[in-house]
Amino acid sequence: MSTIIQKLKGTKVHGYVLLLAMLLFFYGVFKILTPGNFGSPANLYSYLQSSIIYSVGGCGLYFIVVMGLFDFAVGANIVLSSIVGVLLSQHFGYIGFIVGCLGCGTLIGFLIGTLYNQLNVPSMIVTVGLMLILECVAVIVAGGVKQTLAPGLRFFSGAPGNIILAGLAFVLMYFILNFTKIGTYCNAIGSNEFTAKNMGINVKKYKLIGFMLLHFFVGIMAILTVSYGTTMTALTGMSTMARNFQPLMGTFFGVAFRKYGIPISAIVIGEFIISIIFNGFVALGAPTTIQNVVTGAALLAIVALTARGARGSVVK
Amino acid sequence: MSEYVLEMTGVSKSFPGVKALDDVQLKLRPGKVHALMGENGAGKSTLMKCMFGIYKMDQGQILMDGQPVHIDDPMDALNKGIAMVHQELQPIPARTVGENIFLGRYPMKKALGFIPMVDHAKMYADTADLLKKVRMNFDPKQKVGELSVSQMQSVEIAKAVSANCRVLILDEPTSSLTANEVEALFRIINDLKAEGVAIVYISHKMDEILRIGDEVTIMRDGRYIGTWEASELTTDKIITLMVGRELTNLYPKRENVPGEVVFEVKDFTSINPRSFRNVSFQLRKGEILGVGGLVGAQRTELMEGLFGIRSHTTGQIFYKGKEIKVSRPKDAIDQGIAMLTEDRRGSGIMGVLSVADNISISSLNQYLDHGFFINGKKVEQLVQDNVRKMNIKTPSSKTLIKSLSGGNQQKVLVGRWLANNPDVLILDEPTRGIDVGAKYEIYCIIAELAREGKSIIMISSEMSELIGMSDRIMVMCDGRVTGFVEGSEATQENIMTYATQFA
Repeated sequence: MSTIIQKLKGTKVHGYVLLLAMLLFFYGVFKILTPGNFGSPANLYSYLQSSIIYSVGGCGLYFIVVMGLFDFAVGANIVLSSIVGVLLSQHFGYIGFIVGCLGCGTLIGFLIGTLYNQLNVPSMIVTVGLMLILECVAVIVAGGVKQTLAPGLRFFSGAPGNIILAGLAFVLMYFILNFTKIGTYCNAIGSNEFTAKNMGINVKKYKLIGFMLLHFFVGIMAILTVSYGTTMTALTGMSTMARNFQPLMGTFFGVAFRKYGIPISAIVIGEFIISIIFNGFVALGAPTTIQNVVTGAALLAIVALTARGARGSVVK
Repeated sequence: MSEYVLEMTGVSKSFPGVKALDDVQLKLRPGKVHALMGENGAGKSTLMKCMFGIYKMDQGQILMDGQPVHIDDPMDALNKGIAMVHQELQPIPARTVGENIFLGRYPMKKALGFIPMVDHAKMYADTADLLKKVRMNFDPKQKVGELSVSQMQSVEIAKAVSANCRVLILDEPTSSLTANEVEALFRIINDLKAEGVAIVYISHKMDEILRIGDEVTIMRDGRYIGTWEASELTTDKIITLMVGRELTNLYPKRENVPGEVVFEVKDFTSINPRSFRNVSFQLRKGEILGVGGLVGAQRTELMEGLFGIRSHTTGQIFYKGKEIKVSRPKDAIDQGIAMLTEDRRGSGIMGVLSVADNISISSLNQYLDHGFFINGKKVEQLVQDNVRKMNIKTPSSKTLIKSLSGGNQQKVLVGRWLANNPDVLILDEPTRGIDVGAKYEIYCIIAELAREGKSIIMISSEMSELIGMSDRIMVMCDGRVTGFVEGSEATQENIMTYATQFA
């Protein structure tokens, strides 16, 4: 038995067992505490549908987080891309909606990446600045009016549309990470940027690609978000900031489970775990402040435990 | 009272897929230098990390003064009087020499009688005393990142000495020291011996071992082979015990025939006036050009300039008769020039990537289908070819490179550049920290590449390596080329004459 455990250490199976154990743990805790109004199959399906939206953003963020970068403009881009998509959908239907969200998202990614490369300032500063600008642009584009997606264009608001689109995003992410040099180069830059440069890797180019990929995925997230909520309102004053964190939590799971070779699964299952925790607290009727404290603490604990390298894992 | 200050017995340690230590023992006497020898992957570093509390032993016991002890972590080891200077330096470059030496145990004072504050004045005064004691002459307030590799190593040694240790582990301490610095280190070691400190000395340099060592323990493939008085051993006997077979030649027979000039540098000068200047040389097809000089001769800086890592003000580079412009590494790589850097960890490996990714990273474009998708089979083939050709010890191609020993990491890095099929290969200390068996394999690869017509520039601080492997040796001193010596005429004396011309 111990030989089998030793053999499985560090493998994908090990990673999945850990993720599923966490999932069962949190599900079990809330199910015991509130058996009546938490965790029925219908509830779980609902949690899954909301969590896959964040998973898509989490996948996008993974590209830049592994390079040691950060992006606070994700929320602002979700709002702006949603509004652009909804406005275009009024003239061009689904094509306008999809192209609007994806095109606007990717374009913003290009802008952020270019500015980051040109200004040579930390990504956090660039994206905070752009977040403020993008929020204002969204208000102007929306004309100060709440934008509503037409009822006939809500294929992605629920299953199977949202699952199909999110599934395609995960497959795309899997291919990019595992079968293209973009995935390898992003990891290489994050591992040792100086060496990557000396290997002939165009670091600026791949950082730009990283931001564009992130915001392409943000574009997909915008499609899912506005479809799920049916409306989008542009607000200023850093109100989009809160939208950055839930996708980021999934990314933390992905980075922590990278060593098991399952970053995408970790993002998806991690978001589901976060969703279970949030909804568990709602079922308990806990105040929002307590929910946030416990969720934050649980996230820190999970990532700290899984990110910690196995002591003595070096083969000499 | 035990005659040993520290004993390790029955030590075993396994990692996934590898048994790194198998029933190993080590017994250290006070006031003696105990050399620990073995090829890369023999388990020397793992054993020391078990002693220093970095790894937990699966089995085995540590006794100090005959009493069993548990060492939980490096701080616990330091508290018990065990200090270690690692082969791969681990300084904090942005902090001063004093801060690096006293890291984690800053001297404190009470401001206004009750506010605890770091006593910087005392820290720097103590650092100055310490540096004086270990005969090192630099400013305690200087940032460690501004020091050369050899100076950084000196700081690490001073740090270990400052802990008033009873056991001092020195892992390849002279790998980047000049002859004078080595002598200074040996004086320090003798001082520590006189104070009763037991020293574990890990090195691949036989002459050092036979000179400074009192006892020698040899390990092979994670196993304890035996312990001998150093006076009973010879270089040949040590090598035979280490590799488990007789190694008759240190350098392979070379069959390369240097041809026409393929690479020429004229009047090449750094933007830094204290670095390389007015450097001119030629490199022939199929030639191995050794580059000799003392630490600080700016050999590495020159090669980094030619590879586009450092900027230059004046000078021309000609490749196959045409002038080329190299302002970044990619320019050099595109021309078919490759460079293996001396700092394996800082600018060589990509720690979080696998062995496969590290080997294929610079040549990934060759393994793409339709210009976009990585062909995993081809990459795996490349890895397996390298693993076989260079005898890389790795559980699998997916293993993270940081999990390999230093020597195996170096082989992966050589494989990385060879995958790019370069015409000009710059090797900066290619066998630094590599054991004698693996060195021979690397020499064979270099010789074979030269025979195939590749042109090789090899920086080496090991005189015997320069003389044994080079067709011609370019010697530098203080940023300038001071002379060329034909390989057949090279001696330690004529190289040193050029190397110290401006010293």
